[in-house]
Amino acid sequence: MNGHVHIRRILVALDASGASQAALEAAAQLAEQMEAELLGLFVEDINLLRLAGLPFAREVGFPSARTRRLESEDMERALRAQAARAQQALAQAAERVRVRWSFRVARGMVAAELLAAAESADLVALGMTGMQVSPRLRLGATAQAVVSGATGAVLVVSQGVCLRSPVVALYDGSPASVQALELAARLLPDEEQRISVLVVADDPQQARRLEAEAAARLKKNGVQARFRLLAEADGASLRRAIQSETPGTLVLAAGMTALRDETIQELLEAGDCAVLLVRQEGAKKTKSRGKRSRPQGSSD
Amino acid sequence: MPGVQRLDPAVLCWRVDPEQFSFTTTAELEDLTQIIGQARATEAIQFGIGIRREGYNLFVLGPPGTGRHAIVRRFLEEQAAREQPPTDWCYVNNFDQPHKPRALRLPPGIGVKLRQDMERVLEDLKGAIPAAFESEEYRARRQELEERLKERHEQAFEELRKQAEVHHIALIRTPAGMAFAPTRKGEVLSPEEFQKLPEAEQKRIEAVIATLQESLEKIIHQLPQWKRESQQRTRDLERDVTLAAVGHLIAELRKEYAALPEVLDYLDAVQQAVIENADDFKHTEEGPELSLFGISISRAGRAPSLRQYQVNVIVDHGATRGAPVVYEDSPAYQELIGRVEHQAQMGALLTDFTLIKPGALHRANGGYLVLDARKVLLQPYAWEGLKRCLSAREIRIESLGQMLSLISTVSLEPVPIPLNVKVVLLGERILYYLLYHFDPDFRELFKVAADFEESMHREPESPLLYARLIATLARRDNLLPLDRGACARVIEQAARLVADMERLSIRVQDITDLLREADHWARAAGRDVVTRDDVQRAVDARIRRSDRVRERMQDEIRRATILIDTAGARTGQVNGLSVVQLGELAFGHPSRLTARVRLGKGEVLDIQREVELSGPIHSKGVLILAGFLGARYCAERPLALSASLVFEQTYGAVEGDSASSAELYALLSALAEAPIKQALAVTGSVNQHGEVQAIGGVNEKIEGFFDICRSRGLTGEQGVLIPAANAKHLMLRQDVIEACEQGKFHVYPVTTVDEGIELLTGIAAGARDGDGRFPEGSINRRVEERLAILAELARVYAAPPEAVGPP
Repeated sequence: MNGHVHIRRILVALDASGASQAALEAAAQLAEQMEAELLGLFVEDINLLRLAGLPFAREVGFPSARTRRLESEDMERALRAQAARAQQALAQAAERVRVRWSFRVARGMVAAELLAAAESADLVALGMTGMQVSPRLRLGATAQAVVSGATGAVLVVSQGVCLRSPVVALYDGSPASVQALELAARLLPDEEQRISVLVVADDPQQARRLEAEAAARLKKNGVQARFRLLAEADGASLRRAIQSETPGTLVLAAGMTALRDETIQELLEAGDCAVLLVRQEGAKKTKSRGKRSRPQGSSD
Repeated sequence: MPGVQRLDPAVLCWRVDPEQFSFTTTAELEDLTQIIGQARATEAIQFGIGIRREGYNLFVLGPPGTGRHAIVRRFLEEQAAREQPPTDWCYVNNFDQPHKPRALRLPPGIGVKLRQDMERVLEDLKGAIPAAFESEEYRARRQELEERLKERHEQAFEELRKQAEVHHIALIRTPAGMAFAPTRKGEVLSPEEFQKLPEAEQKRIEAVIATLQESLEKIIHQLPQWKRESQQRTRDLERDVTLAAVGHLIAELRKEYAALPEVLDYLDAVQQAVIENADDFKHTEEGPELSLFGISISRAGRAPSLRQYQVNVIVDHGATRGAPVVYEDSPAYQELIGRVEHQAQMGALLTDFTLIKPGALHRANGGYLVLDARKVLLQPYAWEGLKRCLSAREIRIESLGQMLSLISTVSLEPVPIPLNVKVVLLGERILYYLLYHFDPDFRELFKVAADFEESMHREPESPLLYARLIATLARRDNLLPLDRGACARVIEQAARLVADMERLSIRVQDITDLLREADHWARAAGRDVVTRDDVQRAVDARIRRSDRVRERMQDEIRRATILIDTAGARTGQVNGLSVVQLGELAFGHPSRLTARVRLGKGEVLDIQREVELSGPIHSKGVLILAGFLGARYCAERPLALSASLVFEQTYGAVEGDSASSAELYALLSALAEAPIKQALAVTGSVNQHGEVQAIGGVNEKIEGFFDICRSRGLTGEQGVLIPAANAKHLMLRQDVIEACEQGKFHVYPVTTVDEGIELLTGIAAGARDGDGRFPEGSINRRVEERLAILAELARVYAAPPEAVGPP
């Protein structure tokens, strides 16, 4: 059960939103720490292009509330401009942390394109929402699709959040949680590293065993951690336990028995920390998707 | 005609008999509490202080050194002690119009209390308000409000989305807004797919989307309004929270100040302002001093926004007993009216109501303000400012710039404070009369004049009263006590100071100076009582200190540089007497006066006047001479005389008519060709009837001539002719009197020119007999004849040439 995770390629989903900018920053932070490469992807939403092609297409401006005719050419131009801005932001972020980067633009359904691209990456970083209208935080449809559909690790960041201490990880002995623990230990530079491990077990005895196990694993990485044992963990009490640790970065493993999808979504929507969701390698769901991507410029 | 008798030496000076005093030294005498010799002034002061009407301010006029200050102060303090202390005044912020600070009138001592109470409330608020905003209650309610707004947004969009979904239409975010698009299986229909739809379906979709768009527009339009509503609710919540924190603190104060409606209004305004500006209290932690290039930019100590709750007590009568009596020593405009100071901050001058500073009028409000008129008039605009306050009956603090409209930048305009003050101005008489004449406001505002005398009448009881005054002054200055003789000498000097044996000087300053100097000499001599000799020494030493010029002058006379004869007899020449005032010393000296006569057209030529070295009064005296001469000797004939008169060896201007009798004697001597005895000197003015009239400085004149005579040796012939009216002014020096007693010197009181010329020439003047003729050989006869000859000569010369003789 030696689940050593290597993160070498980080895919960043770029759009014009603030959350996407935060995702880019977090990804760059992580890339620096892991010495990984940044792959930027801007998806030209096929839905928008189709909409613009419809004869009656109108756009209601926000917040001006002015209705405008939508034209295909205008839409193409707007998307190209967004892509250019995204590339510029990526270049700046990558050069600041001195990592390799590449950028490309794809056209298609956003979630599908992201999932397809994610297959060649070890981690997908994306904003929790796209451009927001409502002030309430909601996991966007795209993010939801990627979280549930991605085969690798997913880093979800909302606007104004970055990777920071304390790192809180959940551990229940499962292979995915082992990987999560390993990743949590290497997530931040040593001088900033503060880790809390929530050990989830069915009974106290098992909990103590798991704690010892986790401590040993962390020690190998030269990291000291605080432990907290959680005996009976339903979704709500787990969430409360996690939130009481006030995590800066939360590392979760998909597939933990105690961790249901709604709980994950609730934790994501709390929005006050970056959430790294780790999947056990080999548990990949294979999906075939048509690729309509074209490569763009790339650079070191 | 009986000759003029010399004055008895006993009347040349008023002597105070030390034996009339029953005390040994002044240490035994009680203090003099009454004010002597100033009845008129003290009545006026009492009237002025007592009367409570507008414009009845006082002007105390009189020469300095008469004790005006002390007397005024004494009366004022007596009166003030009977009155209630006036109210306190504070300036507080005007929360509606900060540039017009409000004035609060408070009972004495309450101003400071209010300031302290407000400081305490402020301290409490600094803790209470942040605490209120950190409370669970506030957080929960605030979160609730935020949540409500979010929900409202979400519901609106969610409903719209659901409506759309029914028709398989999705709400999509576009780069610049939102749009609706028909979908199939979660994907937007492509234009080709849409074209394939039946036309009716296309129309339906378009119609649905159009209505949806309208709804969307409405929702977006409403968003800002919802936000505003939410913000309003948040503000209301904050006000509630603040009110809960501030309300009970203010309520406590309201109870304490329930009797003062103005304070209650102010407290309400404070409460309102605190509620409006609760943010100011949230960040009152003292951070590091903010500075830019080393200049502090955070205002000293306190955040500027909290300064507005301070109370600026400008008048505090908490410890005052009775009404205030204020003497303002430096009555500059701003010292009187008060001022608004500024603080330099980043090169800008800032101010607020806490920088209002009171002036003397504020401090004296409800009481009395004493000012020196000269100082007020010397300070630019102080007089105008004072008058304006008095006539408006309020103190309006304005800078000079504002008053003159030189500055238009906005500064503070503190609400004026009602003024009820009695102003007492002290000044010389000339100032009073000038102001009265030239300043119409002055008459309205200073209706009471208290005129101080410099001398008082001598009554039988005066010496004793005066001795008590001396005792009081000596004690006040910690001087040695005076014995009886010293007292007597001081009183004599008091008479000499006013040059009048029937009056005494009450210029307390001069007497005090004399006492101090006598004390000095007594101590120098090792005595513990001041004696007559010490007083005399003080008088002599004072003269000695300042008589350099006098000595030079006498020296030059003695050495015959200045020609003065004190023996023999000369025609047309007489010794006149003049007085020189130099600083504090006045001294007399003789001047030679000469007259020459010849045929002429009746003018008496005063050479002094011709060269413009004489004053108008001197000229007047000379013209009177001509009037006298013409009327007495040439009433029915032309005065065919040309006479010239001159003061020999004078190189400056001559003024005064005291030499007019001497000039007349010289002229009569010249006309009658009767020599005048040079052992005599003359003073006195003369009128057109030949009467000799009083002059000033008689003592100095006699002493001046005496000094010259004595230095040349007294012959027993020498003496001075003075107007008889001046006899009561004689307070001569002891050595002069001694010489008179020994018959070596004489003082003659003269009432008419005839008496004078008889004394001077030893020839009878002569009076007209029944025929209207003067006796043969008399001076008057000789003068009349001489003038008749001159008139006849003039007639001959004036006749037509053919009448004189054949060609």
